[in-house]
Amino acid sequence: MNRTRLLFFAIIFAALVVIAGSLLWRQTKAPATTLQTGQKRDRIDVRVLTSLAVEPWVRGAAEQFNRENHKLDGVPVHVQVIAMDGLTALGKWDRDAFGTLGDKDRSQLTEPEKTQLAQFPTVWIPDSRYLVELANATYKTRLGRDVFLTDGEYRARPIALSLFVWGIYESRAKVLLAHYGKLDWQVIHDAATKKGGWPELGGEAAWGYFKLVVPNPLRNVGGLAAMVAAAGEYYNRPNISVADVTKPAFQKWLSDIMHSVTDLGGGSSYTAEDFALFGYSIGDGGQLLESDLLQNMDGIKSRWGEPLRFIYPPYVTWFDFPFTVWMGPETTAQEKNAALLFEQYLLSEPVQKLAVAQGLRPINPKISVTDGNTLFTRWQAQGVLPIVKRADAMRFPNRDILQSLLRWFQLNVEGQ
Amino acid sequence: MNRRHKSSWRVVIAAVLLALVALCLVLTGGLYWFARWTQNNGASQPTGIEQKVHAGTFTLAYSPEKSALLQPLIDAFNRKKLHSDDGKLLQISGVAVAPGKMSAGILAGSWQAVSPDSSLWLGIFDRDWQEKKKGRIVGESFRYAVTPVVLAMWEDVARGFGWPDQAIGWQTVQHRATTDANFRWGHPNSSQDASGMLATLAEFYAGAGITRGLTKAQATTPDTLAYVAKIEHSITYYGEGENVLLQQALERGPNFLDAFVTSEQMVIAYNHQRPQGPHLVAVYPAEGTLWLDHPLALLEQPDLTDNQRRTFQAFKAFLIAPENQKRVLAAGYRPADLSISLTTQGTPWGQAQWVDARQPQTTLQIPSPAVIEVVRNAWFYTKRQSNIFLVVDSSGSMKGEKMTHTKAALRSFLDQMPPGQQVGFVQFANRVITVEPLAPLQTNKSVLLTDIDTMEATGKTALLDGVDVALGRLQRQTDTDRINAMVVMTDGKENNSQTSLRTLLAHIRKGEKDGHKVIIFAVAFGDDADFDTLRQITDATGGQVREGNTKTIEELYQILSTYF
Repeated sequence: MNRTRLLFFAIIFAALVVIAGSLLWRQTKAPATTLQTGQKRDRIDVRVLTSLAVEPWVRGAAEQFNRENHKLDGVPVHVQVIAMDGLTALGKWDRDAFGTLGDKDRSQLTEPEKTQLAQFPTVWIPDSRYLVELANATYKTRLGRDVFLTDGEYRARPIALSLFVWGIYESRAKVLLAHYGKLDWQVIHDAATKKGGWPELGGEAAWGYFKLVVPNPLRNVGGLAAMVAAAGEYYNRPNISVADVTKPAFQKWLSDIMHSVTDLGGGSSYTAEDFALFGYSIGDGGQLLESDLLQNMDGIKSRWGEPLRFIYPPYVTWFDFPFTVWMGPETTAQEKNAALLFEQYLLSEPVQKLAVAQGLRPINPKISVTDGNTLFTRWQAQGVLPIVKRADAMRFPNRDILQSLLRWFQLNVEGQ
Repeated sequence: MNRRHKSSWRVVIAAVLLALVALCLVLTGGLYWFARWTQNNGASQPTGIEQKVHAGTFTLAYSPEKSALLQPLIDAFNRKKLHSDDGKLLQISGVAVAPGKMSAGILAGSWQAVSPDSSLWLGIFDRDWQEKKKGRIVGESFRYAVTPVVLAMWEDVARGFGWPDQAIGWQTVQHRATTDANFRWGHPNSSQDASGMLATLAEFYAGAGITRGLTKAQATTPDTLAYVAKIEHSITYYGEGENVLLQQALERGPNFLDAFVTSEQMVIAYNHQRPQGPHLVAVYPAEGTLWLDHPLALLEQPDLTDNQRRTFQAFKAFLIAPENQKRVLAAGYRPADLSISLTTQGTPWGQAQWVDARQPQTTLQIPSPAVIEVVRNAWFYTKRQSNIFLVVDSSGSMKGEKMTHTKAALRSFLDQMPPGQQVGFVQFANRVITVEPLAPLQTNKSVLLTDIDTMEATGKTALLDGVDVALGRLQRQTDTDRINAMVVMTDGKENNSQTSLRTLLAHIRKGEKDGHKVIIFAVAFGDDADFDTLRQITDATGGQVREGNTKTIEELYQILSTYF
């Protein structure tokens, strides 16, 4: 063998060693690079922090979106959904738990900071826009600017609607309506304070005392909204103030109501799903999200042998689930635009129809809740209204009112 | 010839070089796949923050009574070898931990998720976390299996209470327990188990004369505490949890207890294993009960990784998938999937009268974590106190590791003892060597610890003499207010006692006849322990025998401490 051939084989050998080395290097280093930059080289990641009420729908849509391989500027977009109650998320924004950059530049970040930044949410879908306003207020103090926009291309846009409605087990609703002729917070207060429980109202002894379902307001935004709705009816107006919620007479009245809740422990977020799973044993009825109740109606009927009766309150509490893009430098322009792509997807006709299938009311005006065999048509006989004609919507309370209510709850209900 | 030689030489060199190239290719491929394998299996050892980010380890702590359901499901999940989008293997390690002990592990960052028996604990975990750190630790949670707490009674006992026509409540049973000396009932230790906690809570409600709105003040009035103490004094003995109650019911049938607090699922499990009867009936207390809702909660640990979140989501999807929800149903739990009917033919609710799918009709109000904490603490002072003899083998076979571990286990047992207990100590080998009389633990703990520390392994095994001495001491106390019990440990066969087994059993029976009941728990330590003799002794007293070894002995003594 001559020297040329030896050299040829030596080059081949060296090339193979280099290839092997580079493959190893790529394998061990690639994920770290991915996490440092917050996105893979071959895709754009959109992290969506989603309210629990719309999470099944948004997660289903995200999975479908990922399967369909949507691209932005030729790069595939991948959506990751993180389920988190609106209040829990708000707490995290308040504590800056996701870790904003502050005055730092991306290039100055340490490795742990880069890793932390890679987890930063691109989008937040809270239960209601008032949570967005509260988060904005926090960041305005901290950073001197809004982090979620209310106008322009990246403004917070509702993706679906739902509202608060009374859901009462049919057997219990019949007794209450026979006794009072109507159902509202005053009736609930009266029923809740009957020392003799259900027998005193004309119900069965086995039902025990009247039990109200209210989600824990420290864990579930629905609980807070329920307290605000109760205050609205107590004062017979849709807007309430700090002075209203701190009046001793109101607090005594609210306390009577809240003490008819069966679980004051706060371990459970106490949603409509619980209401279905544990039936009338944990709650005879409560004001809960219409979509949650509708989703669980089949299960409620099969597990407990009777459906719920739906009764709409005079002041409607709407939940609009705004799709809110984070505007800070923590996420890239590409990620923000990819988020908008997903937003458009959620607002598209087929995906809005999926929302209706989950008991949500669509934002897209082309979709009707009564088009076909939907949850709205199926349960109309139980009082479900396809169109809720109410002139008065409960106004969104400000931070001071919410904090007053939460503080009162902590001291007088949870901490008692 | 020369040319031919040259040519064959070239062939050899070419072959060698080709072999080298092939070797390189194999090496390259091998290294590549090894790198992939190590990454997927988490065997790579990156350092610092990278290690956290890449960590796929996901540990789930669950309450022990559902081991038979959850561990096989975890194994099945792991066998699926699911990968996250970035190629990481999603795997779960399961560990059975009593809910009462979960907070410590959560604070230490040992687990990424927990599944206690009740949501009741989640508020407590959050409160414990807030005391030490910021924010809340309990994140997203979901349910996959639920079951109500019930009063399990033998059918004839239940019919004696008027079942199924009459409502039976906590107070019905509490009244019987305090007025009928022959009525035997029990509930799990309140500090370890949600059903034990609920039984205690029901006593506090009854003591305060209310069915809701229990406050700290109401829970601690002298009248309430006196009432609870009276009820608790009727308890035959406590226990570490529901699965042991089931095991005891299976082994001893109606000789075990007349009624005990457990879950509906345990009643189903018992009747499933004993289809011919006698049957256990689930009585849903008229005043209301509690649901064991077995939440599975993600812990928002500060270093929780994306991959761990994905593992949680993947396991959630796995558990609530229809095929696994059917496994939940088959295990006697009510599945979280509401589309699965409970009452169709073939389900426990559809085919038998021992359980009722439309029950419970109402629940007891669960107070705030602060009130629950007061009830838990007050329970320690109202619960039935105990006179306990520790009877310990120090024969020659205990030499070495066995003795070292035994000493540690005994120390741990004494540390776990709630206040107010009286403890004595008997050490035996060739004969009874040490007898430390019963005395309040706060006065004799240091003496007991010295006795334990100075034990030396030597001589034969006079097991029956040791037990007989302790039995005599306990019987002579004539203290019926307290649980009278002993915990016997031996690693060998009886070979040096003057007391025969027949005599010892006669002493036990005579004491019972005279109203001096002593319950004997035994630990058969190692493979050579005389399990049969121990079994005969414990069976005669309504106690239990457990097997232990150097690895489990300490934990075993800790478990036994929950019986007092």
